Amino acid sequence: MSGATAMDGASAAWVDGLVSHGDAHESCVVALHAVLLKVARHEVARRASFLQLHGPELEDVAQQATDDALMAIRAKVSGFRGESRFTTWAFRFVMFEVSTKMGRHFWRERRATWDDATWEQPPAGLVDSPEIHLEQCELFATLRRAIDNDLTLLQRRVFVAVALNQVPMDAFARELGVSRNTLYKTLFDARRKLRVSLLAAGYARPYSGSSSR
Amino acid sequence: MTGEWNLDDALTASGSDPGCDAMFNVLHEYVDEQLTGGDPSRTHPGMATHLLSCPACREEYLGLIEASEEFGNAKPTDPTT
Repeated sequence: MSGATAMDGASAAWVDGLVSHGDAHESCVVALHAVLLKVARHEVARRASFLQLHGPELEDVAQQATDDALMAIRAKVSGFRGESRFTTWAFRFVMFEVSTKMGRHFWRERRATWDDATWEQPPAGLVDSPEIHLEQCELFATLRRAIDNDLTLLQRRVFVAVALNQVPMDAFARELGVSRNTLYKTLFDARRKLRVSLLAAGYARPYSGSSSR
Repeated sequence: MTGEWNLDDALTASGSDPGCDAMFNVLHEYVDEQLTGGDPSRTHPGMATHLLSCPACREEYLGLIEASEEFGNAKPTDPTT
């Protein structure tokens, strides 16, 4: 196996098993599926409270994430060069699939649309903050004006949903029909515009705590 | 993902941020380096920036750290796998 000599023994054994044939291949796939399922169950349990998922739904997400991660790993294992332990490389696909599946479940639990109408109230964390005061309200009003006036419609939707309402990025990317990376770039551009707008209005980072004006 | 809302966090955007696809491509290296006592924020500063700015990638990073610590020593011949 080319490149396997640079790997630790366990990683090389995983790779050799996956690229082999016959019984050795089958037993390796079974073993990998078993450990990926453990990882997926652990991960959905770690994130469950945020999405308010329970029992059968969690297991369903874990099973689907495991199956899809295994498929991706088998398709891409020839590109693994031992940059890390094989398990770390492989578990990364489980993390990605769990994010994707849980993003899908997010909309099952919440049918509200996250558009400009949600921009009627400040974020809960700001309202509940014990140090809320007039300057923060002014800052927030300035931010709101910048969001309304300086962002494109798409940037506004993404920023309000992800940055203000903490909609999971994978859930909103799915809603928009774009990749996470594309959504992130839109969010990134929105953040930069808003920082410029706040700076022009006299606000510099850090925005939290005492006034920076 | 569920932390208190913070405007500084909400507006974090650094020019050295390579984005989610680049993060995914090196996430395993980043995590392994951290788990072996290294400082990936020095070897991959752009990725460290991204993890501060991207809630989705940060969740996967945190999950991968836990999973690798818990299950990373699994072997294909391990009867407990």
